[in-house]
Amino acid sequence: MSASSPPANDDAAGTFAGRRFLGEDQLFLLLSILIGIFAGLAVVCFRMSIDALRWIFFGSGLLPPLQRVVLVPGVVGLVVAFLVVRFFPRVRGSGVNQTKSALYIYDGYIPGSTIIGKFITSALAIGSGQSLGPEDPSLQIGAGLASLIGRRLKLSRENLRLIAPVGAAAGLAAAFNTPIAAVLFVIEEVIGRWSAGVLGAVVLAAVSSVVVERWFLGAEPLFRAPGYRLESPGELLAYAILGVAGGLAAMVFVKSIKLLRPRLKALPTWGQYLLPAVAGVLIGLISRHYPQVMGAGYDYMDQAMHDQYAWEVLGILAGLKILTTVLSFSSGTPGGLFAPTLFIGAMVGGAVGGVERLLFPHFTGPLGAYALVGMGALFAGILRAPMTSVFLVLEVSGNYAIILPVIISNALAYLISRSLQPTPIFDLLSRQDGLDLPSLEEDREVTVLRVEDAMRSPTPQATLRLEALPPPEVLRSLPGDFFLVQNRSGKWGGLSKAKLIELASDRASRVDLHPQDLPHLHPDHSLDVAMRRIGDWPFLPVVHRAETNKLVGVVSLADILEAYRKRGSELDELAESVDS
Amino acid sequence: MASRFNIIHREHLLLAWLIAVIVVFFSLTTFAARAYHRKQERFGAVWYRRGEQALKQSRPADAVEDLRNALAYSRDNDLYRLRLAQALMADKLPQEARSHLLSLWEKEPGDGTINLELARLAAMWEDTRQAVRYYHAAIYGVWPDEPTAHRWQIRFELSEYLLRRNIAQDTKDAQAELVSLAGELPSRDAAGQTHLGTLLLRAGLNARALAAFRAALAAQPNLMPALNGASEAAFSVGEYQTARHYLLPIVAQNPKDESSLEMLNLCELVLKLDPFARGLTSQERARRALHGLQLALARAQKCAPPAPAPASRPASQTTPPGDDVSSLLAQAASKKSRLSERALASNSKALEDTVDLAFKLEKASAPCGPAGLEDKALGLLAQQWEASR
Repeated sequence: MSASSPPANDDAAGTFAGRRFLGEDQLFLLLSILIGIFAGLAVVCFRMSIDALRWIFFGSGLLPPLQRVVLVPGVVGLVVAFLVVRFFPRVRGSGVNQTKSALYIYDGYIPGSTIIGKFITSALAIGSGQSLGPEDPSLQIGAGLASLIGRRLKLSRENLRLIAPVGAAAGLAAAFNTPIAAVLFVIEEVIGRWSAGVLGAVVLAAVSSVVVERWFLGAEPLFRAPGYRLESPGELLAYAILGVAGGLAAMVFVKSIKLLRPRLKALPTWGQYLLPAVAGVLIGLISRHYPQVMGAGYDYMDQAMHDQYAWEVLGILAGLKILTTVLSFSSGTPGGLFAPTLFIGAMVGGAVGGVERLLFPHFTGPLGAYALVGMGALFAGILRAPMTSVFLVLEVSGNYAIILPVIISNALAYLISRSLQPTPIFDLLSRQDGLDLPSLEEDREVTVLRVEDAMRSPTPQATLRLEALPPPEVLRSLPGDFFLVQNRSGKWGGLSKAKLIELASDRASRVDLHPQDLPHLHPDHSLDVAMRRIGDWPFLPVVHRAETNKLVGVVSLADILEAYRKRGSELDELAESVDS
Repeated sequence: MASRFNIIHREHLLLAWLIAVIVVFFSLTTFAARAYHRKQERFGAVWYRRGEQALKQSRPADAVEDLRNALAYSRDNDLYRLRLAQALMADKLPQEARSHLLSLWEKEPGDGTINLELARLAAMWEDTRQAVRYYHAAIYGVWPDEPTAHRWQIRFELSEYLLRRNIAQDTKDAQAELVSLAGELPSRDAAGQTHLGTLLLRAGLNARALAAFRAALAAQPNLMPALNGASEAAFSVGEYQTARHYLLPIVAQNPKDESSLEMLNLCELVLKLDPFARGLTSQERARRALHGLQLALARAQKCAPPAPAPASRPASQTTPPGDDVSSLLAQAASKKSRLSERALASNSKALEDTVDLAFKLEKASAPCGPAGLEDKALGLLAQQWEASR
């Protein structure tokens, strides 16, 4: 089955739709739990495999033997490249965009070989010291499993599309042991919209996968950072500086990938075979002096949180991790960006905290808090998922007292990164791969057009009161064929000119001549709502929210279309000015 | 009807198949996870043992590396983390040690060991407020074994820390800790009472110190540090007879102990010179009073400086009008003709005045240079006399 021609499961006979035993919705929720369990089990196995490979390659010590640090990543890089080029070409990169592609392009179809390939190649790459993380692959493995199960159960095309993000949330939740952050990330980054239907399924899958993960690997949060306390309100300024540093580091990271990845991708096939090995050797050479940059680096993040390194070392480690991750990721080695992002953030945060402690020793809290906040800042800056970044920090540390500095730093890092590098990394990667996937980040930039942008003032002639209708001859002279009429209770209705004249001449108050209630709008309603409500009415009343009898304007279909046309030409002009 | 049955039947089958796959997958993962955890535990235990060994062999840097490895395999193992923190402290990496200890503290804020280590770190950084806070938390904290002994030990440590700071308020706090400890420590604990007595002496609570040493000696009569402490405490509170009692065995056991020997001689001289000692006849009292006056006169006459201008005298040496050496010598000269053993023996008021004059002279002669042993003894008696008045 080729990627471009996924199986279509929308034939009614073959689907569960309409069956009596379980409705489609109930089945979907039940499946979400089962997918969560599957994803949890797969992620547990994936993490254990990475550790087992690391023990085989480097032994049980944290510091790898020097003679192996260059050899192992190089040799394993060749093996990984061979597997990727020959057998699993779809497993390159992080896995987030592949899941989005499955959702938006391939009707939720992720081949089974991708799951196996992602598992094997990512475990080999990360276990051999490539500077990548296991979370994004876990996300893709979860999505792949969900897709596989959905296909096996012959779900409808619509549900098959939705089932992949459900699996993605389960995979990510198990990888980080963070159900809330996983749900938010999938909503923010993969699905791109809040939908009550899919939210329940995503939550169920995330929770069940985390339960499985905790069953096997324990319930401890990912990091146990020392207690946070704000030594003085002035310390918040240091966290703001950390946000700025995080934003700049995020910009450097994303721009480096933006520059290097297309160049390496353009190399001929022999280059693709060599790239992971070359990246591995370079990382190995760096690791002779700084072994901390190898692999996901969770142990070293924990050490940074516990004051193991001087601020200078933390700064160097942040810089080197940016370099090694850019090398690993741009070389096409399968593996994720989440863990390196957190690593860079922890080091930048620790360095900023270290400098602050040097300058103001009595006004600086524990360095671990800075490292934690730094993680969130880089996550917000690089991955551009601001909500996820806040909850991720809270969940990985189990420390909810730190929320204020996290929000300050994350917001600044997000804003700085967005202004210096407008395209988010996942959108950048998808465009480099020739895909045009929807972007929530870009959606956030789009201003919603509202009724107030299209409405016009009501003319006195077009708005009448039922109790004070003018005589029929006056009505006949008024322009227009449709009038807004306010009835005795103050509600606005509509009547055609002919009926209005009839009503004015016959005061016997015939019920069939009374104005029909019109759907009304408020000025802050989106034009999308207005389009849905207007139906065949020539125009609709726009009323005040507090005084629904007070007419503030009217809006017609032509007004709505004119507003859209105007905004379209404004955006075209803006795009032209940006291009020029 | 048949097709509907088939559809429902197929749905059942698919769900059953899915659950069966989960059961198999779960079983396989359980098997793999057990092997994985066994391996992790083994690695952790091996590194921990190596770290412990390195600590025992005073190789803290190696211990730190080994214990870091151990902790990587068992991140929620509090014992590994605690030992790592202790190794870091031994390796002079207090910031990192503190960070690990704070992590542990977050989890177990009432743990005695963790609070004690944090207190030591705070004490090292001279953060007295935090140190006292953690020491108290350790004292009242949870100890898995011998909690009472730990509490005494920590109170000792806290008191020593406070006394070492040599600040009046801290000394007061140390006194409070020691008094509290004196109420808790069993009297039969000779070593503990000796330690307590030593600290009480340093804190200036000499009478309590003497009581502690006495308790120690009651439990272990020939305990040399207790004898030393008891003699010093008794001497400090003016119980020269008691001091002599404790000094005799010390000197007998170590005749070359010059300071003890000098103190013993001083005690004996005090006892010999004291005109108000119990059981003396009035003649003997008069004789001692006259001898004391002669000693004081001899010292005062040796240096008898011209009376300095009041402004040039240091405040501490300021004597009341008429109490300077020259005036006192003049007083003594005027009384000389009336002073005799018989006169003093029959007139207790004259005896007291004579003794008072002798002591004032001795005190006023203090700046005249190093005193001989008899003058020192007289000086001690003068202090006692002044205190009693």
